[in-house]
Amino acid sequence: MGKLAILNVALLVAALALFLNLAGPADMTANVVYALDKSEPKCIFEYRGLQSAIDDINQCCFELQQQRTCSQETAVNSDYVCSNSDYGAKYRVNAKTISYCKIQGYRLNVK
Amino acid sequence: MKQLRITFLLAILVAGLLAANLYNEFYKANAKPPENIVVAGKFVDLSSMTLRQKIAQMMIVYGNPDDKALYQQMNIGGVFLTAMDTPEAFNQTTNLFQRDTKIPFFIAADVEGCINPFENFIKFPALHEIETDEDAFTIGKAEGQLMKELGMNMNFAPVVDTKDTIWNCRSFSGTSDEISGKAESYVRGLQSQNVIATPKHYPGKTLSVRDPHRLLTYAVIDSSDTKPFAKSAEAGAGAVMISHVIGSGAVDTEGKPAVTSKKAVTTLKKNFGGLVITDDINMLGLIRYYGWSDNRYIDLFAAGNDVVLDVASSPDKINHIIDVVEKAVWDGKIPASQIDNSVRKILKAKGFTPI
Repeated sequence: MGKLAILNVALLVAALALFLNLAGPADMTANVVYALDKSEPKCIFEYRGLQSAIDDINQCCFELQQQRTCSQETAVNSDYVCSNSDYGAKYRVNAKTISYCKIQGYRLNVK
Repeated sequence: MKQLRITFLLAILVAGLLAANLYNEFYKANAKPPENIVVAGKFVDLSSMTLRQKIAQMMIVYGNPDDKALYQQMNIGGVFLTAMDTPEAFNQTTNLFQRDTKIPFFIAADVEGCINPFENFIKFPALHEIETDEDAFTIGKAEGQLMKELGMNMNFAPVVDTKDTIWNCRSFSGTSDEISGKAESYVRGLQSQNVIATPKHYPGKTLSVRDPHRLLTYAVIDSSDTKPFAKSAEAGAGAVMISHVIGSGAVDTEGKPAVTSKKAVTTLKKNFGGLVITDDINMLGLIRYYGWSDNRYIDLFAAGNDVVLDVASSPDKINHIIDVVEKAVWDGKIPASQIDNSVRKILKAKGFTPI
């Protein structure tokens, strides 16, 4: 590969890194994940054993942003569980919801 | 030759992106508190604020500590905090936000009981578990005391919708009269600790109406829905939160989300002298009505709300909202006097005397 070609590749990588720093890598990943995932966003609120679906997905995002952490889980109907503690209210959501919320600008603490 | 041209173009692109990144960091690092705003002790000269600063003062946004300097420079009115690991983390954040401010931020959270940002280190009962007015006062006082210790001054609570069939825990239980009594007591307890109570979600029926097609939310409001708000107002609630429900009956929202209905906001303000705060403006109940049009922002301010809550937008987006509303004022779509009245109420709620 000629020296100019190598330089061009390096400049391209630098441009990408600077662009991601401005746009936010989380936003870019979320956009890609959201586009590839063909499922519907799901959000289930769980408190003291009772579960309820949150239909307004933006409302769900608002609530998820308030949670201390969102951790991955292997469950039939959810990919993540978001909560403030081990014993209180929980939100069980799928990956589509997580990526949707990130695209909308909500800050989620996903671990 | 072609390779050289590509190199040249890429070099310009990299230089441009580098400049943009450096400017971003420089701007954030050097954002200063606004020097033009005149504050002398407890007096604030309202005329020293620009229109943009007044509009910014009417907004509560997401409390990212990295954005503090920018929000201080813009004169943003308040920040909304979410769950943290420890009380120390909360204190660190609230101290950071209030450091070197001429006009302190509202520092707010949703402390509702089953929704509890402090749950990692302290539990509170869900509102629907509270049985008596006395208990409601005690719990309101305890939550207020903790919030005060952590440097917070506004609670988006209590939830006084008469039914909660979505979360099943957020609202008080009982008849409208029983809920009204508990709401009144909770407000007194919370505000005894100098934390502003924000009964929500006016005009009611926000937590019980489900739209299976995920479209707009319609509800027929009756006096049993509005009574808890009236009782909370009697208790001196400093604020009330208005929702995106499209109401008819006792509260007519003109076929629009309540939060953008001038009629609904005016009706509320006839019997309530505190701050009218919108529910978060990114919820689907509002977006499905307006789409992504900027008219949403104009109508929110034109309706007469005192404070607009937006916890999803970045500082750039917040700046854009202020641009849109500022232009709407200049175009005569929103009276400047209405903005001034809201800012006066905000400053009074913060303990100032606007002059």
